[in-house]
Amino acid sequence: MKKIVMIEDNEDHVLLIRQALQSGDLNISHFQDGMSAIQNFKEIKRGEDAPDLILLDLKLPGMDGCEVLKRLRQIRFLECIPVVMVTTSGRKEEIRQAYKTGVCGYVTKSEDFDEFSVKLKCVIQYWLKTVESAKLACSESEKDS
Amino acid sequence: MGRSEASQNKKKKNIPFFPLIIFVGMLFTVTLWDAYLHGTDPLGRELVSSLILIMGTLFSISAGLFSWSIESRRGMLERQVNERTRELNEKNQELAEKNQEIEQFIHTISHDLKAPIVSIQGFASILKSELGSTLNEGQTNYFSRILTNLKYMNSLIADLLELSRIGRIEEEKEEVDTIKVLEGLVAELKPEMDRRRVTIELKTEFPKFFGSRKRLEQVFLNLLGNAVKYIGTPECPKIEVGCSESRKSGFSEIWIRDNGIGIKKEYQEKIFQMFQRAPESIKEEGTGIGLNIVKKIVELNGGAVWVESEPGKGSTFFFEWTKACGTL
Repeated sequence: MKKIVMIEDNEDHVLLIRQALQSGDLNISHFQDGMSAIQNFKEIKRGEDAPDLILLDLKLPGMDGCEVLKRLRQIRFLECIPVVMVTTSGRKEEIRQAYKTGVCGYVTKSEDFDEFSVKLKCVIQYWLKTVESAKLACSESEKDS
Repeated sequence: MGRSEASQNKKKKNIPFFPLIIFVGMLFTVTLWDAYLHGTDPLGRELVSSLILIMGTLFSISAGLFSWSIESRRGMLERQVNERTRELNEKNQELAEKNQEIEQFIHTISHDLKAPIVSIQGFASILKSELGSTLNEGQTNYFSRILTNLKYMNSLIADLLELSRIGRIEEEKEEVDTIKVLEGLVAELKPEMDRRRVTIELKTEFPKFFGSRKRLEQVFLNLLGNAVKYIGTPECPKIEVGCSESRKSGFSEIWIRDNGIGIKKEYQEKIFQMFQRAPESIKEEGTGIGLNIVKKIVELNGGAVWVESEPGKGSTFFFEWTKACGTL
């Protein structure tokens, strides 16, 4: 089962995202703000304990999503974990800024729920498969060498 | 401030006297020099020589004072210009900060308004799909109304946000390939055009325009979107877009003609005001802000927008836009 971590301050949206992803074989944990997520991630000792993907809200209390992402990238085992921004804002400048900071995908919540649900699942599945294939390729090249 | 202005005025009045003093001084010196050269009386020559010396000294002092006065006035003007520039820069900085604050405020408000809409929208959709076939016709209708209203609120927030940005946020101006813009917009409107069986035809050549690409696209999108939305049910629904020379120098006049529901005479000006919609258009979803956005953008770019229409026969919207340099 893939581990997904959601950093989201709005309880309603946590419920909605969980509902949107319920059919997938996913283990979803949740943090309400960036700081508590960072604290928790700093305690990771092994790569296996790191999440497979992070869902990150843009407007978070204390530290915004882009700042959280910068800090996450400095934590060992999280340098290459795919991070998908899930937010209500669809402003071009913010989308651009998010991609510049290093998110892998950007899904806006302000759309029709069914559409949002399909889009989110697609983006998550795409990145989980991409990471899986990269890991497979790495282990095969290690075996060969 | 009053005193300094008075002293400035006094200095201004003094200045024309210096050239006069110099002129009279020079005239007097020349006369004396002439008397010195042609005079024969030794005492008279001595006197003339002393007078020349005195006049020369006075002349030098006057010239010095004149030069000092000019210099001090130049310095004063320089100081004034520097002070005004500094004040202007401070005001600009203040305005930029205020603008930034407004932008941040609008951003926060929009996010905070959108978040509960997303929640209601999401939960209503989940409930609707979970209850599915157990819902009777009336209950299904209520859910549809909840979702339609939420969609309307979303559009309203988006439109108000956009309206607040026009003219406040500086946009990059560039040369715009009008045909490409129109082709892109037609592709964007294609699903809705197909649903309503409308065609859009470009009837003339289009020059390259100059201005904010984003804003020009917005003007075209709002006008073409309205033309599609309010097409009604004519036998052969069609929209035509064309361009001609404007009476205003450097501008083109663009027209968007449809054979849709049309607008009564008394609403033809009102529809450009915020939240004003013609009664014929109420059946279609809309915020009543789109044409106000068009008017604001076009007028900020120096042009005008207007409509000619006949109910039941269609409307033609006109707007003026700046042509790119070198475009005939």
